[in-house]
Amino acid sequence: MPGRAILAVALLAMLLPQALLTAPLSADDGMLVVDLLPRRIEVDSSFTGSTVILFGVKSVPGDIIVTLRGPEAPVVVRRKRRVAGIWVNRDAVAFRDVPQYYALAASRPIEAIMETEALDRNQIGTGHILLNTIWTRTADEIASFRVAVHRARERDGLYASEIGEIVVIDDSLFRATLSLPANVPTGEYVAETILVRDGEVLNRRESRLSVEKSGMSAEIFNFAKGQGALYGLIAIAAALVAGWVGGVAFRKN
Amino acid sequence: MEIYLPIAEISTNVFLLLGLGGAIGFLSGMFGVGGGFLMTPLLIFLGVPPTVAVGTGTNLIVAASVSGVMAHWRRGNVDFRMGSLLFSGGIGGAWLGVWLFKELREAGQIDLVISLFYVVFLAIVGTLMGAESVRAALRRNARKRRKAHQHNWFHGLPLKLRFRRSKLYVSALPPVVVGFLMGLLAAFMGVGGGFIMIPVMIYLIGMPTSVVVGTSLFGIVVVSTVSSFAHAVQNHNVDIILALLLAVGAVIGAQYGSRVGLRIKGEYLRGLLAVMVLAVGGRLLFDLVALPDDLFSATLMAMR
Repeated sequence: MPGRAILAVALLAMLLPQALLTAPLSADDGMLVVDLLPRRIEVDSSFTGSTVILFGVKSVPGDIIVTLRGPEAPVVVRRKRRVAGIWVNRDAVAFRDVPQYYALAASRPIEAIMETEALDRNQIGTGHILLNTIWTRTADEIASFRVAVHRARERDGLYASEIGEIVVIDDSLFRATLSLPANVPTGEYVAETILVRDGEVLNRRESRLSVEKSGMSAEIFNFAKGQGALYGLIAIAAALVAGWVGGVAFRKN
Repeated sequence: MEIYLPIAEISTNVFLLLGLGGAIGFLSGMFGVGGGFLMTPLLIFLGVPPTVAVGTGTNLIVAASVSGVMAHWRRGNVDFRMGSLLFSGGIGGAWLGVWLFKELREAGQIDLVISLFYVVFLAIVGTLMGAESVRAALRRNARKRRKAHQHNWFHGLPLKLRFRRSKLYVSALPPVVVGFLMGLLAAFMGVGGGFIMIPVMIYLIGMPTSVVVGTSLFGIVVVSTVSSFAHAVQNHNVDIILALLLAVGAVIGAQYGSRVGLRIKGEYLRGLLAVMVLAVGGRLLFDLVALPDDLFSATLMAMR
């Protein structure tokens, strides 16, 4: 029903105008319009986590899956072994391009939307994220290290353990709410929205989100990493002054 | 009130940190020790990464010791010639220590090495202190006077220098070596090392006790300053916010600690401290030996 879709687009445009300004409709891509709010998250010293709302309109029937991936970085996984009674890091496997954050939302259970093979191909679900090793090892050795990456990220709340819900209104408007924990890594995030029908991807959209450190803590962090020598001198000066002031203050009492 | 620590990258309660600083300051005032060797393990128990706990510890010791040095300086209890020898050895030790620290961090072994260092040192210090306090309590009445200092093999070493403040004519080598070892310890453990330097100064170098405390404090400030700087440059693990919060607590706590300390007998104090040191060491040892929750740990690869 094109009339309903137009109505939905109009409604969306009215409510949140930037959706249409930044994602102009073209003939081919018209079946999926998506935007993200907010586009930029600032992590300051009082940051306790945040939510991102992804909303959009689809003009054809089908299921919606949304993934949000954090910045990628190489990760080393180490396994402890007991050496002389003490647990020591012994074996290590390095993975390249591990997303530091991963969340997923779907309009129905993902297994009902797509075959496992397609989930793997599209890297949907934490179990389907592609993890390539940097050093070659045998496959079964690596499996336990690969699981360890997921477990560590899940424990830190960085890989959502549950699949989020997507609210679909009138089979055209949809909305997904994804949450970012307090310890969310900074960097560029990519939200991918895919429209699926009969197990086939009909259309996909990428939206970007940037998570940045802000405020004093960010400045201190960047300063400490960028200009270690100057930072070191300032830290020492601060310590000298603090100790001296403390000593003087209490001597007069 | 939660505060985000920019380098440790964790959120903690401000009052918890002030309280922790205060408690350590109280102990150091009461027992007359730096307290660094208790601070670093406690920060690790709090969830501060061990590398940041050590780097921040070196900075904290600067703040905690500077007023003591000034007080001793005013009274003329600092032997600067001895101090500068400690200093020259300390610079080398601190830089070497921080470099080793960095290599071990990149190899994924630094947390283990920090814990091992602590377990060994806390066990040694706790046992020695405990034994000494028991011995002192047993024969408090039968105390003999020591000679000013005894001559031993230390006094046969070359490169002799005159130390006017300490009324000594001894080789320059021992202070340089002691400084070097202190620098290594400061870099690896985030401690001042007074608990090692003081016995060496008294029993090996033979310095008069009146200048030992002031000179060792001077050495501690100097060596901690060097290792704090080296850590900030090489490992970026000095958290200035964490250090200052702890320092504020420590400076205040130390004042009250020293008042309480005057009222308790020395050997009981040392016995109490020995128990505490052994308890912290035991907890660290337990963490090394007990089956970890997860045998695997995932860390971002160092890109530097």
